Amino acid sequence: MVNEPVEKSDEQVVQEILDGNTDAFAILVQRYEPKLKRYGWRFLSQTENIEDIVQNVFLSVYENLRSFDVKRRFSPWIYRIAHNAFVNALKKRPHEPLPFFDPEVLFPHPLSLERPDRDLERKDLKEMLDKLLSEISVKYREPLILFYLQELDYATIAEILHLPISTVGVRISRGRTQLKKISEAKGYST
Amino acid sequence: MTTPNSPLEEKILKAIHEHRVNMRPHWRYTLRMVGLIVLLMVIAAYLLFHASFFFYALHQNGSLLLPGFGINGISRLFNSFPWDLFAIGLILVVIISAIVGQKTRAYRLPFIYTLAGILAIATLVSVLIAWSPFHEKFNQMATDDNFSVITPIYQQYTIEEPGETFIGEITQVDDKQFTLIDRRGYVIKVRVTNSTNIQKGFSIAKGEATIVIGDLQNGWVNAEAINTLPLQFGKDVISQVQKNIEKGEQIPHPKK
Repeated sequence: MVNEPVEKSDEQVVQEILDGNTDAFAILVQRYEPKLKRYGWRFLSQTENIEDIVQNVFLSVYENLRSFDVKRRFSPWIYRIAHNAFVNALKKRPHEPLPFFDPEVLFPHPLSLERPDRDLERKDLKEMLDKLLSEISVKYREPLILFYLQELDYATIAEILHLPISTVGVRISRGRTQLKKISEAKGYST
Repeated sequence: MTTPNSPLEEKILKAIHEHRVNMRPHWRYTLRMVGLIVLLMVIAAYLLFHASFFFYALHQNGSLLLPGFGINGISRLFNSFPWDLFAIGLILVVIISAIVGQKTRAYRLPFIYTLAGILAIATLVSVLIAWSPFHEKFNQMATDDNFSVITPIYQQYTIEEPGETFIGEITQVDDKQFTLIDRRGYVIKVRVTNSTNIQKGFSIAKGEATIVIGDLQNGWVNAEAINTLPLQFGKDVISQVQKNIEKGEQIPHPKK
């Protein structure tokens, strides 16, 4: 019986890079390039310069690798860097202004637990999301992408977006409602 | 070396090997963290000084005694409240909360929790500092040595009473009127009318420390209410008034 090599965790790979094996950075690029590109395409809703933005994300990750604490999870950390890069790209667009002040992060919300969507509902929502992403407001678009398309949990999304978990829940819920309204208005069946 | 799987991977590895991108040294992050901590400490120190001065001033200028006069007193307190000091303190609390919320794990909480927590801690510590001899010593230095920046601020907020409020020692009593000298040496003549509300058990007598509310017109105050001062505060007021009397500093009140 041949023992398959156990795949190293992201944190173990980071430690290896910090110990001097910079080529191991390729492993992180291989693992995260498709995820970040998908994230970027969905969030920015256009294909041009996503490649450049994602390249800059990886370069920024490499530059700042010594600030990463290997006792924490790597995935939210790289997603956070990507989030910042995509938000900066969005700020350059005049027709998609980002709110300066968001009352949703000020106060606690009762809706904080993840709702176990029925498989069918989740599938329907994913299909709707694919069609209508660009029409949802930016504030709700990102949590919906991270939850339904990147399949991350509320806690990870909260860590990426630097929001309270309850606010993540509220945004996903409101985003879902907005998505359904737009879908109905356009006559898409669910 | 791993064989690149994508053009992007190839570009990134090439940039790393050619040293066009390098890992930033650890000391940069340590320095950034130290800088942030120092910044927070400086803002927090100023906030505590400012907020404790705010509470000290409220005590010293008699504002905290006004609610004892009922609605009339509360209304005067509201009109003469140091809103500028209050607003600056609140802004500092918001700034610290915003920095803490963004730069630490406090982002996991709604901002209002961070704000409330910092406000509670700042208030508690500031009240303790206000009760300590810290501002009293500063005030004494300001009065005795006349520092050009501190003295006017301390005098403005601690000795100048809220509008139409007069604190001082009774130096002369006549039928239905008396003379008060305040902490700045101003002489105030007070008229007691049938509608004047005098605190139960308080007798208007020479040497008593008192607080009077009423409108000042033509050099006379028609007293709406008269109360005694709390023991220690009263002793401090008498002590300051006596100093002014010894210096010969007694002038009519400048307000008309």
